[in-house]
Amino acid sequence: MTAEIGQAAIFLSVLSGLWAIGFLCLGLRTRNQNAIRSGRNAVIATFILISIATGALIYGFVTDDFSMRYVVEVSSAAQPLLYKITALWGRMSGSLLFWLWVLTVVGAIVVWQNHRHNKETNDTLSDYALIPIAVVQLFFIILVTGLVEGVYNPLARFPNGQMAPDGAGMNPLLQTPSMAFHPPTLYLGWIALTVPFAFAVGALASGRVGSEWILRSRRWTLFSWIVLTIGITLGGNWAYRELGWGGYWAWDPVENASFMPWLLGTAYLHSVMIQEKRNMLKLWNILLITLAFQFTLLGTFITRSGIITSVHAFAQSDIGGYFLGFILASTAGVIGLIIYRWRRLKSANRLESLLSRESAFVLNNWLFVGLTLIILWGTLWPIISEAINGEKSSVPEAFFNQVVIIPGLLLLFLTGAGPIISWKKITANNFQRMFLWPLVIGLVAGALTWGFLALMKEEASPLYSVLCVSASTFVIVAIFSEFYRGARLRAKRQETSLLNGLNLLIQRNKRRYGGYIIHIGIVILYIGIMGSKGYFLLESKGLRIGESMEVGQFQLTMKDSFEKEFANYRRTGVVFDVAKNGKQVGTMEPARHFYYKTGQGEQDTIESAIRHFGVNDFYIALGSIPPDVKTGGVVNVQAYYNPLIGVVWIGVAVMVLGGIVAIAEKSEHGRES
Amino acid sequence: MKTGRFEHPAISNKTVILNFKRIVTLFMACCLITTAYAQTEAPRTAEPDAAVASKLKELLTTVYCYCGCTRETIEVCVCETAAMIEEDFRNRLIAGQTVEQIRTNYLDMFGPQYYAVMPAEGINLLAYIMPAVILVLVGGVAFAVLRKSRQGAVVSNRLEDSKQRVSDTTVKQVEAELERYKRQN
Repeated sequence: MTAEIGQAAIFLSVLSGLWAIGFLCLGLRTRNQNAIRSGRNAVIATFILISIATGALIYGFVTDDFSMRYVVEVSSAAQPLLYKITALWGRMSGSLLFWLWVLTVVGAIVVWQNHRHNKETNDTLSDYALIPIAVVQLFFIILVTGLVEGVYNPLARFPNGQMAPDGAGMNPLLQTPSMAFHPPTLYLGWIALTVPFAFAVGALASGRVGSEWILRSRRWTLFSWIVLTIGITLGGNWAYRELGWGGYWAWDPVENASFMPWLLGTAYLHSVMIQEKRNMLKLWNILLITLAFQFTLLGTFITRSGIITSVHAFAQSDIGGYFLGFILASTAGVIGLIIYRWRRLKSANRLESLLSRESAFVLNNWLFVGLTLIILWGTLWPIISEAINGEKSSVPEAFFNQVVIIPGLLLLFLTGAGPIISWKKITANNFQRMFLWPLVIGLVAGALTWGFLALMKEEASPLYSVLCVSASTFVIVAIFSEFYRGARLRAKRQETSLLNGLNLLIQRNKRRYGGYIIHIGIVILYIGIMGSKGYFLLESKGLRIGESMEVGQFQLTMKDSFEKEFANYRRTGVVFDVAKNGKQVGTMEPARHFYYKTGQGEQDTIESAIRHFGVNDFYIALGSIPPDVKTGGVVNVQAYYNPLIGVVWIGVAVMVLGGIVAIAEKSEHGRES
Repeated sequence: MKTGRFEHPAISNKTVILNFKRIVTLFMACCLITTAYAQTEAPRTAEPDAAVASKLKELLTTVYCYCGCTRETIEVCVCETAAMIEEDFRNRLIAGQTVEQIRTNYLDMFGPQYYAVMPAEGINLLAYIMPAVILVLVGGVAFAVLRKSRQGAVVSNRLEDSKQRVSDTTVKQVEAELERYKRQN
């Protein structure tokens, strides 16, 4: 019965979605408050209805209702409770319902915020913004009704009361803790970007294209950025632990699909500052957030359409065309509104100098947007090459590494230059005071790195490492001196300690200093990427019990094999004695999990063993384990030494911390209002 | 006039002969050491093995495994198939096939999408050129924005800021007024 209630709720939400759009448009057009209120209530009603549908599906998973098609496809009786719940986004239909549910939560929060805001002011901007949100909701509602080809209703039952004895089980690759959190965080990040986009559309529709829509949606943008950062990193961490290739980023099309909106969102977070401070780049900001939002849909299109081979092949279906259609239609709508409001979108101010913070932000935007388009180009190249000469080229990781490295290093430099260059125009005094020492120390660090690498005779290209260390040092010195100067001044004024001064400084301008903390995190991340991508070691060998292999300064000896039974899988693996420079450091137990119920996935998964040595990792992954392993069977072993990989995770943690500090600053829309 | 070392009063002929003998001895010793060294190196007939290993590494890093592990080169892929392919490649190299022959054969069997290297030639050259073109184009747009923003007189920022604030605020006030008017009527 719950499934039928859920289905009814989905169909009713079509009506509530239409109601919301219709009454909000009508109310705003005729200035009829009752109609506007009715539209807002319909947004809340959609949230309630979709929550009922989602709850019904989760209930189906928890109670092992194998009369439901979706439950049979992605769950099984023996599946642990956590993975029964996360099966919600295990395949296409459920993940669309989950996406829709998060979108309705976001819509309801916007209504609630609007309600709070309207107690003080009679403001309609949020109501304008609710319309695009309701339109996007309606698009997803239609997809999950099961009425469109290519996707079925996730609450649908088998015909004629049929019931399967057990479910097929979720793809084993998804039955890991990081997969329990990676998709929802990524979805949340993508979906949260709908809000600033909706406010941009609302600003165009209402004609209020000043800074208000930016201020009203600022926290949503930052929230999206933080959550996307976490989501992307969780994905990388999952790949590192579960896929057995010792890396965390391979420029897979779906990794790129998640990264591109992040890049555009980051560009937008910078460019809105120019609009807020100098009342410039109004059109650009609207275009940028539209592009960021469209890239979230494009990512879904790339993931779901199957046009490009990816590690996310399990999520493929025929709905790519709907996404493409929606992207084109919504872009056309925004362009129409831009043309309609063209006159109001002109900048009120002029740039006074090319050497100013405004220019640095424009350069930053150039690089972010350029990088996004380059990554899009590389991602789509297999399709483009096939269209040109009929052969689908495969774009290797090395291609992306080659083409992004220079813009990436330039961006790193701007991470330090942006915060210390003055608004409007840089003066000789400003340059000397802010730039001289960071530049000198950066150059010295680069020279020392060059010398060190020459001494170590490293094979990896030293030029990029030298540039990376040099630029990173420049950024760190520049930002730390900003913190120091500010904290010293505060401490002096308040007659307190430097630490208290630092605290006061951050409390006073959380947005600015939160941003600086993010920049420090970026530097740490770059160093981690440089070390782990540039200087890793890999050795592969077939080993029998008692045999050994070496990877750099590590020696590992295969000591024994083991096998353990769990509720829904069997774990088989081997035990290695690991020594570093001849000194025993412990044992490691890489394994493979053989799942009894495998859904649409492989039967077994690689469970790599990772041992941390400070920020460096020693990593072992296994090939298949033959049944005769105890009596001389050979196991294929891959062992990696990944230097500085821990620094990657630390860098992301610092970035997220900075984002949290920045988001803590209250929105300034009160002042605007 | 001193014309040569034999005329040097400090060095006798006997000394010169002795030095000459020493030089010859040293030369012969060097020859013997070199020969001995060459003989100890000779068993490094691991030379062919090292060559095979190097060629094998080239093969393993330049083609993707066809097992289904997406975009994993044979070097990185841990599956059985990868191990089998590696063994096959090794045997073929030992049998005298070249890297190019083996790779071409592999790609003929499984398709060009299994080539993990995208050489900057033919149609793929376009893939390598476009990123630079994209950067230049987007840079051109950014430059145009900067240039346009620099044209004309610099308008007072404060005045313009306040104008804009009034603009948004005014719209809101008008809306509020209209609302009040509507309620009253």
